[in-house]
Formats: sequence, C-alpha cells, structure tokens
Amino acid sequence: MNLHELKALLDSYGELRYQTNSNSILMLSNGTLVHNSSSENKGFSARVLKGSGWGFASTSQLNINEIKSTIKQAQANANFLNLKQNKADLILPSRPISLEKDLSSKNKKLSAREKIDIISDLSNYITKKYSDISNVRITVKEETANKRLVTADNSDFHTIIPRAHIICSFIMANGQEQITENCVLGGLGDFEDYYKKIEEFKETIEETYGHLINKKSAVFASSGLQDVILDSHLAGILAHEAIGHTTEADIVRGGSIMEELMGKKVASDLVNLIDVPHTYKGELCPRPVFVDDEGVEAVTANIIEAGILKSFMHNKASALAYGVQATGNARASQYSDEPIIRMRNTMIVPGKDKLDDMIKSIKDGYYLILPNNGQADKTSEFMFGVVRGYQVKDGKLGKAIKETTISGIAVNLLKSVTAVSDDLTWLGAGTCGKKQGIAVGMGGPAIKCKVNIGGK
Amino acid sequence: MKIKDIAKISLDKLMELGADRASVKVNRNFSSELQKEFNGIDLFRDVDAIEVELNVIQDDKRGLHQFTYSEKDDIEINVRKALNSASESNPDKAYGMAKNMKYKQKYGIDRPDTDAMYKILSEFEVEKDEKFPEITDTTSVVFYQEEICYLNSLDSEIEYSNGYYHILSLFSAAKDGNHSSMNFCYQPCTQLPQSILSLSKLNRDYQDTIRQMHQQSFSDKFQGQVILNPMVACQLMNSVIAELQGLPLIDKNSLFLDKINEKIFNPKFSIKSYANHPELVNKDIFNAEGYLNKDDFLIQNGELKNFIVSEYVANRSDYNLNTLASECYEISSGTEKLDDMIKSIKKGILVNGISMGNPNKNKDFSGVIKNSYYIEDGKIQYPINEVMMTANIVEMFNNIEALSQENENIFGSCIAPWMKISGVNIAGK
Repeated sequence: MNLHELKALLDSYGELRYQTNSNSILMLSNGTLVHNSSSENKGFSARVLKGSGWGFASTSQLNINEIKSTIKQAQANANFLNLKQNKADLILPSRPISLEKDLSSKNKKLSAREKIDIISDLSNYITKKYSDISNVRITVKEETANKRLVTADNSDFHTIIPRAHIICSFIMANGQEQITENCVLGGLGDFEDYYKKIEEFKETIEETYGHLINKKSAVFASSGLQDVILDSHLAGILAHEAIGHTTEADIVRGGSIMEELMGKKVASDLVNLIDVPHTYKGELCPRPVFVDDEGVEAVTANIIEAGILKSFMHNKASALAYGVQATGNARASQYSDEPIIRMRNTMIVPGKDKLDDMIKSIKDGYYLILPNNGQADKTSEFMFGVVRGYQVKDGKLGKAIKETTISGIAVNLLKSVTAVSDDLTWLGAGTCGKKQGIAVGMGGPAIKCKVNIGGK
Repeated sequence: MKIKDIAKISLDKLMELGADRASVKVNRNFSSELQKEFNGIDLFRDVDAIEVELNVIQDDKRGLHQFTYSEKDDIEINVRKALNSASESNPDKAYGMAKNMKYKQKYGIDRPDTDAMYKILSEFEVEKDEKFPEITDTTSVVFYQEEICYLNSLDSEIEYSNGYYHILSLFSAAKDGNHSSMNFCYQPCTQLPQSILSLSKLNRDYQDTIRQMHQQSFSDKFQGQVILNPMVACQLMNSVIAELQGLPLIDKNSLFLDKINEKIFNPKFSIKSYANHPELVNKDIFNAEGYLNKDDFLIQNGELKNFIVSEYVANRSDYNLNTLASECYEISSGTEKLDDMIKSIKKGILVNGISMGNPNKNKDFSGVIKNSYYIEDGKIQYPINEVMMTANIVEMFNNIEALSQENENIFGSCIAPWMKISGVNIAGK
C-alpha cells in the first residue's frame, strides 16, 4: 500500500494513516504461567477536513478497494457535516516534516520461550530468597506502535516506538490483612533492551521487599493538609495530572480554569514545567514523539516558566484558534482513533536542592514515594493514589503509611513548593485515559510542598 | 467475508496444523459517532473492524493470539503465530474449553439513523445554550454494533449481535469566575430520544453542575454517614467482584475465600449477575472458554452465594465450575425514598462521585469526593470541594443503613440504588 499514491485521492486537507499496535503479555503467578497472549491491532484510517468539520473513517481490511472506500467514507462524513453546517473553512497552520525513526531493539530477538525462562528464573530467585512473600507475580508487558502517516500538506513519517516493562508484584500475609508492593524494570525499548539488567534490578527488589516489611506495621496517614516531600517518582504524575491536563488546549477551550490564568503566577518561582516531545538533556524520554499524528514536528511546550503560566499544548486547530505555533501534541492511540491533544513526556524541571536536606527540613509530615492511578479536573483539582510512603518526624523517616490518596488544587500546591531537588526520575509505564488510552512519559525531581492527604 | 466463515476457516486451519483443541472468536465492531465540541458538531467518525481471537491448546500448552482481520491470507499467518505461542508456553493440564455450547440471538438495532443522530445533536446545541448557558460541554451521539461468532473444536457455536446508541456528555459550568468540577452523563438506549435534553438524568446533572459552581471547602474532620450514588456504589462493587473470581481463588488470597454461605455484607445487600438483563444494553453471554454464563446471585441478603469459576480456575482450585457473568449485574434496591434517606442524616455527605486511588488488597481506599454535597440536619447544605473520604469497602457494605427504592442504570452494565452507609471518615482541608 502506497500512502503517497492514495494521497492523490484527497480533495481537501486530510491525513492518511496506517498503524499497527502490537502487544504481548506474559504473567507468572507463584511460578505458574497464567497468561501468555499476543495481539496485533492493524488498520488504516483517513481523516478529512471540509469547512470546519472533520470526517473520519477506519478499517481493519487493508485491500486497496476497502482503503479507497474508507477514504471516500471519511470524505462523505466531512461533506455531511459541511453541508449541514456550511461554516467557514478552517485554514490550518502547516509545518510539514518528513521523518523515519525505528527505536526497536537492535539486540537479538528472544522467543517467548526464552522470555518465559528468564522470568521463571527471576520468580524462583524471589521465591527462594523471600520465603515469607505469599504471592509473587511477574508480568512482562510489551507494546509497539508502528505508524505511517501522510498528510495533504506534505508531511510523511514512519515511526516504530516500543516500550517494555517487567512488573514484579508481591503479596504478604500480615495477620488478617494482606499487604502489597511492586517494582518495575523497563521503559522505552523492547524486552531485549532490559532483561540483561535483571541482576542490578535485584537491588530494587531487595529495596521493595524492605518496604513490604515496613508496611507490616504501617499506619493510616493523618488526613488533611500536610507538609510533604513528593519523591521524584511522584513528580511526573503531579505534572501530568495536576497541570498537564488543564493545559491541553482542547480542555482549556472546554472551560479549564487555566484560560483565565495565562500569563499569571500559578506556582512558586522554583517551578518550571514542560511537555517534552522526545529528548531531554540529550537522552530520549520514555515516550518519544518526533512528529505528531497531524504531521507536525513536535516541539517542547514550555507550560510554566519560573512559576508563570506561559503556554498550552496544541494541535493544529487549537494553534489556529489561539494564534500560536502548533506544538505537535495531536496523538492517536490506535489506527481507529482520531488524533486529539495529548501529553507526551510531561515533567517538572529539576532544581538545586538535595533530597536528604529536604526530608530533614520536615518537622511533621510525610515522604511520599510511589504513585498509582490519578485523575484531574478542569478546576485543577487533582488526585492520585500513593502506594508507598513514610511519616517524617523531626526530619527523620518514621513508620510506613498505608496506601493513600493525595489531592489538592494544583495552583495552590505548586505555589506552596519551597524546594525542588536536583535529581530526575522518569516513569514510562503510564497510560493516560483521555478518550483513548495512550502511552505517556512523566518525570521530575522531588519537591517539598503542602498537599491534602487521605487518612484517618 | 462473513464472520462465521472467518471463524470456520480459522478453526479448521488450527486443527489441520496440529492443535489438540482450539477456539476462535470473531468480533465485528462498527461504530458511528457524531461529536459536538465548543465549535459545534465537528466530528463524524466511523469505525469498522474485524477482530479475531485464536485460542489453541496443544500438548497441554496454550497460545492466545488476537489480530485484526484484513484478508484471507492473514488467517494462516496468524494461526501459525498462535500455534507457535502454544509450543513455547508451559504445559498446564488445567486449561478448559466448553463442550457443545449453543447460542444464537440478536439484540438491539442493526444500523444507525445518521440523520436522526445529527438532528438531535444539532437541536441540542441550540437548546442547551438557551437553557443551560453556563454549561460547556463535549457531547457525542454514538451508534455501536458488535457481531460475535465463537466456534470451538468441541462443537460449541455461539453467535449474537447487539446494537445500540449511547449519548455521552462531558461538561462543566462556569460563570462570573466561578467554576464547577467536570462531570459526565452516559445514557445508552436502543432508540434515540426525541431530544437529548429530554433525558432526565442529563437535565438533573446539568442543574447539579451549575449549582456546583459555588462549592465550599471545610476544615472539619468527622466519621459519619454518606449516601453513595449508584455509580459510586458500582465503582466500589467492581473492586469486590475482582475478589470473587480468577487468580485470587487460585492463589488463595481472595478476601472471601471459604466464605460461601457466610455473611460477608449487611443483610440488606444483594447482588445478582446477569448474562442478559433486559434493561442493560451490554451483554455478558459467555466466558473466554466458551461456557454460557448463568444468571445467579453473587451475594444474597449479605451472604456470599457464588464465586465465578471458570474451568481453568476449577481445575486449579477446590471450587466447582460455575460460570456467571462478571460484567453485568444488579444490586437490589431497598425500601426507602432517596429524599427520606437524605432527611435522616444528621451530618454527612451525598457522594455523587469519587476520584480515588486503587483500593489496596484489603479494600482500604481514600479519594476526593467530587460533584457532591454536604448534608446537615437532614438537608443538603452546599456543594463541596477538596473533601476526602477514607474507608474500607468491605466495612462500608457491612455498614449499610438503607438502600433507596430508586435505582439507576450505570453505563448499560449495572443497576444499583443509592446506599446510606455509616462509619466513613470524612476530612476537609
């Protein structure tokens, strides 16, 4: 199938995309293989603009007749809206780019058998070494997005972006209760890029086991507004949930409070928050986006600079509406999804403080380390779960706390930031669920701030 | 090609190339969506996909491979992938597959009336701005249809199709610098309504959201009563259902292990699972092994009555095969009117939404209460923000004081009443 030839069928602005999302999952529970599956979600889509209405159609059937028929259907859908509404043509900004990127592993491909053997060895190691863990679950998740796109304004790209994770989850009986912990190895790349790191990952497992033991005597956090250190593992989800969603331009146009705060102080001077397309300080981010699914070269969105709200994340239409440059944030999850404004790698920029000094500065509060799920609101009220954390009393770590949730109004929290550490941690296993589940990266340093915490 | 032909060719090829047992599930999904955003109706989206799921057991080893069907040549390529996946897997004699299951049914509607979808959405655009100018929304009218064919090598043959519309509105309210939280309303239906604003739930939610522009926070902390709306009740219930099936039974770490016929929740609480509930557009007809799901109580009058046990789980545990629907259920309603439940509360919260961290294994959780109201002396006082709730789901369902007569259909998958519950920790800032 030649997308360039098909492009000749477009009679107005449009995008043609061929995409395969490949996934595989292996899961061992107490050494028994309980899940072994793979999938290939492959198809073609066309999105066409007529007037100000978008027609979209997709198909999994990739013969030439079906593909031509899908393009016609997208055009018919756009025409349907245009004839009914008869609105002025949107003249979208254009910044075409031609690009090829294949980030799949260059290491020798392993078979599923070899992968099962590797994680079985890891499972046996954990079971033998930590005999008081009642359930050891090891999951390998691999997913690759292979996209080809051409646009009527002459962008074309082909990218192959994989990610792979080995997730270890532990359950331990604790009287009538059961306590859990987990740790993750992986990120951008394939399993073949990570399995050789399992030896050093055993240090992380040892550390995770320590946290599991500490949880045996965990206490509920004291609810209410507290002084906290949010570890660097948490900063990314804070950036994503608390600010990121409220500064996606479609959310802004849909009533986000950030519309009124543009150019105003929304955070402490110490806070710089950016959405990075692919590379930060010379290193690839967990979810590189070189060009977005409207064919726009992806650039950094500088959202907060020294505490001032400076910009939003844009697709072509929102950039036109706001009279700014498109940032390349239009992303589609599957071939059957239309591109919408999504984050890529959202991060708080590291500062100059030392984590140890930050913890020492807390008189009575919490050190919160690992997140799980999160949600955001147009008001900038956010929440996310915390699955690992400790009390801090007079600058020293105290008892572990039970799983909790933190929440707040993002601009209030960020204004309360009094220290930003000099380290940076990326999390790359996250999936953001705005209409379509899509892989995102989240990163940042540890920060000291005030936040509302759930507890008793 | 018809989906049954795809299933037959795939199954024949799996058996021809060496499978001991095999099943094929082919699912054709079609959806048609009209979406209205801030600039009017700006998206008309059609999706047409055929997904094929191959499940093969060979020498007691299982391979599971799913692909989107494009053309006939795809079948052999993907059959070989499934067989290869099985050959590389670990042997496990527990893998199950249903024998001689037969089912054929058609639900809902076949195709969308696009003009009618456009008409109600364009009329809504005008009516909503007149009646609710404070509301900013993204609203979609979607037609969804699935056609499913499942065949296996043990003579099971299951075919059904299901088509329905749904209306989804995501919205918030703003006026004079006051903002509400985001809210949403999802309404499935097999016939389009005369107008979108004729949906009483959407009207209620828009009015609520406008009222929510004037939220107040409080600094109080108390242990008190809450009324959970049906959506929140189902949200918490789904975490319980996860404990009644699958790996928690095999690994013997379910919270409810060995509790069959024992009281696990308040006697007011009953929940029945349904493969095909007439009021629910979603169906849960059969499980992954091809067993038809039964309708039965999971919990009746507070007593645990059934686990959901697949053949695989049965073979790896002490439980007998018991295939019940896990995705569609009804929680029994009670005898009190919602208004009376509110009147009976001295100090508490009407919880219309909760944005929460995943509950831990013991079902402790905490979360931010959203779109909700503070109740004092039997009256709704004001909408709240930045208020957190901390509780344990098992304790909550034991502390049910009343269930409402009224109930609601949640996402076309569940029906539940409002629940009045005591002993919940509430904390403001």
